[in-house]
Amino acid sequence: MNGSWHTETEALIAVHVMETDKYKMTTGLAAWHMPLSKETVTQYAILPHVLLRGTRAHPGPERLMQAFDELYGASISGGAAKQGDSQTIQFTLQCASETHLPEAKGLFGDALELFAQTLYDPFLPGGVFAEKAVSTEKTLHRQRIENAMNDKIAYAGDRCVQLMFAEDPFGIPRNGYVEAVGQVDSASLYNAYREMTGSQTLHVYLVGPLPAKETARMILDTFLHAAQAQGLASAEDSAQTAPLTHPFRSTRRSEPAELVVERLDVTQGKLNFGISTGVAYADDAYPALLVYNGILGGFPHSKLFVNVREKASLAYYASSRLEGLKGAMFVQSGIEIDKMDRARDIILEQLEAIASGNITDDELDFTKDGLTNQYLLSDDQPMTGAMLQMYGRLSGRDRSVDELLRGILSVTRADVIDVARGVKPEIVYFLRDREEVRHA
Amino acid sequence: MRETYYETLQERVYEETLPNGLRVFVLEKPGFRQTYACFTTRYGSIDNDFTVPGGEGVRHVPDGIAHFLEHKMFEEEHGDVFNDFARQGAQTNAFTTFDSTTYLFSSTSRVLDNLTTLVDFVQRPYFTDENVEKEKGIIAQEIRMYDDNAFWQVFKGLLRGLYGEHPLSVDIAGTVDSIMQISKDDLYDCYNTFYHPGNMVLFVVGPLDAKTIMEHVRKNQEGKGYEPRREIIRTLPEVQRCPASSRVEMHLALSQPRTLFGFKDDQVPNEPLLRQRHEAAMEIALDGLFSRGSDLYYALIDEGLADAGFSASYELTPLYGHTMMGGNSNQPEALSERVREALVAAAQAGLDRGVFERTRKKAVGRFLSLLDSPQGLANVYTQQILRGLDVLTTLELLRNLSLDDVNAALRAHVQPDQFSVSIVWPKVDGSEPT
Repeated sequence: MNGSWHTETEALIAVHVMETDKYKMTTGLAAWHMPLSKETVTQYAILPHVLLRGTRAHPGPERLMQAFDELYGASISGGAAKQGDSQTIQFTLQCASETHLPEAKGLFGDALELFAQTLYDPFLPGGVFAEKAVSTEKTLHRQRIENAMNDKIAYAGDRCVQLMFAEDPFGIPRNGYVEAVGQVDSASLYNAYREMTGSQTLHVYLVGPLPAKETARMILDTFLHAAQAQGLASAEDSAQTAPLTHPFRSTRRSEPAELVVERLDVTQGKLNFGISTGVAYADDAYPALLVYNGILGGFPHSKLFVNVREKASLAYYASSRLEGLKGAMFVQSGIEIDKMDRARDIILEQLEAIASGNITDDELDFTKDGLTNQYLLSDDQPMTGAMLQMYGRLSGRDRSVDELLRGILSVTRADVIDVARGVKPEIVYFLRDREEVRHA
Repeated sequence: MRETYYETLQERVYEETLPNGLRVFVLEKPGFRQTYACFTTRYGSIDNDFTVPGGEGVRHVPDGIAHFLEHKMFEEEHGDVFNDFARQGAQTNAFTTFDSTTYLFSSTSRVLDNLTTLVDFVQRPYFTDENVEKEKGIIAQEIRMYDDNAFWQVFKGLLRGLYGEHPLSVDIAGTVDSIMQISKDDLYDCYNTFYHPGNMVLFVVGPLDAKTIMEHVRKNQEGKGYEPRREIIRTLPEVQRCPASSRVEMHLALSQPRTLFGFKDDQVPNEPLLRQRHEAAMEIALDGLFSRGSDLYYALIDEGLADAGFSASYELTPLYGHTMMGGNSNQPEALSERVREALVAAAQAGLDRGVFERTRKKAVGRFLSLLDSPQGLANVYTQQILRGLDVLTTLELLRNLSLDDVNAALRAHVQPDQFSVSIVWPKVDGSEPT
């Protein structure tokens, strides 16, 4: 694997560094996890965008971005994501390594300082975030929420999640609610920011050609220094651990999944399934769930691709994906609107086929090899290890890539059938055209 | 085997042209897990009129056929190529652009076996009436998927504005009607014309030994008995000097309008190195004027004309050059006007020297990130090689680029009659969940 982390912790900051000379860029990731809640999701989704609008040293977004640009195009990005039952407020840093730019001495230290200041030393005229920054970001955020419908594939996927998890934090939309945007103001957003930085640990990951131990200490000092300027990140005694994700528990018995049809002016229908699996990331059976999902719809050799696309020519894409932390699986396909019944039947037949043990040797072997290849490929991306650590914190079970690979190799046909028997479709979602268009 | 070492990048590329004309490139990446290989032919969606080697007269084939052919290559007499790769622990895919078709795999084991599979399946067409018919339903759904995609439609709209009826503005996948006309014989004619090794490039990157890879490919090709390459005669209409239309509009189920606009170059340099310099200069100009660190980017957002997704890019190929700028906007006309004026002003006054220096440094640093993605690197390298350029020389070029280069490129590009705007408007009453 890529290498191991060296960790240094103080106050509410934990720094993890992995030393490698594999990449030409040095990559950083910093994240807070907040519990997902309807009341706070919207403000925390706006927060990272406001933080990118300026620091005490570089008030104003263009000045901050110019400062990054000066450092040979060091780049920062930020946003909020949904991971299990938590909302992750995260920032990434990318910076060219000095090894290849002899003219750029001290580049990393400077970029790191800007990165830390963006998170902990924001521009605060009058003690709170700048009015103008907040009001502009509110407008943009309202549009961001409304624009979710513009990408029909993603929209159908989101709707399926929201319907299946209507009573669960995971059903809360990633960007929050349009109605709640208006309630956010400079003072309330700043209070939310203080609440977050004073209660949750910021985890900072860094991967690059830098000595792990010294660099971790240097990063920690840089972040502590930035945080002290505003008296942040110091309330160690009020520290809260990241919220543990509760896997989805189905309450359905044998009744068929609920069918939900929604209409937009589209030419292609999107048929999605929300499925509970009864197995989640922390469970011993998780590798078997990975294999199950792979046989069903993770690859071009999978049952969905072969039967919905190759045999029936019904779709261009037909696949399944896992939401491991929640123990959920989703099927997605784009089909001709009139062929919905047939596509649904074929998809259900594939679920039944696996449950009744209809799994060929090729399907099992190809899937295990394919998953192994995917995990090894992911090792060529600097932040894979960081993502796994996050999953560990959010699920309560740490798993290394090696452990996952061993688990996958030892999965048997019987293990897959066991998983298949606990699988239950909860929602069948169909996005289709508007009625009047069809009668025109 | 020729060897080129790029000192600052600390990368080495090995190259060999085999007797049958195939060009093979290998880049060793010792620290990486994966090997990524792409096998590319210089044949894309614009090549609809050509002369079949040994045939007579110009052959015309339906729109979308290069992409259709790409799909059909994955089917062999013994079954599906996806399974051959799966059996060897690899993942495979392919894509078609307007001037190229690429087949690829990535794997972390059995690299030589996978390389054989890749080269063999692309060099062994198997088309039947049945398997051609079967593919039509699948590709029709691929087209329908893009019909609903505003990002794609606004892009297509701008191509139509800039290039009118030229094949450049025909959708790469064709239309549902055009693909229904495709036959087995059409596919063989295209295959026999454009898939000769002399028209193709193989690029392999990964933790491997270049000599071993070259030897392996050489042996594989020796046994195949290709006849010498014959010249491919493509019949492509001239690209008109001016845009076909200054404005193209359509409607989709959207929450907010989306727009793309840009200038079209009225001429394209023949010399690849001139194109490379011009392209780099234009990219610096656009980045300096419109990226997050520019004066204008946040002004456009604060004035309600754009959102954070606003972007500006430039592309120059042997056939065309154009800028593409835009994103979501509640006032697409005001946005395009504002950006057009900014470009006209910049072309007159020149870019600020401070902005130029900062942006050039930025481009140098950002270029290095390309080397961290085996896939991105292989794809970009191959595209550029087919256009006569070595992308790995970009770093040195950027170091030597001057403000005069940038200003000259801007002045050449920004011409009053060369501007076109594409807008996708929301359909009124477009959303109605039931």
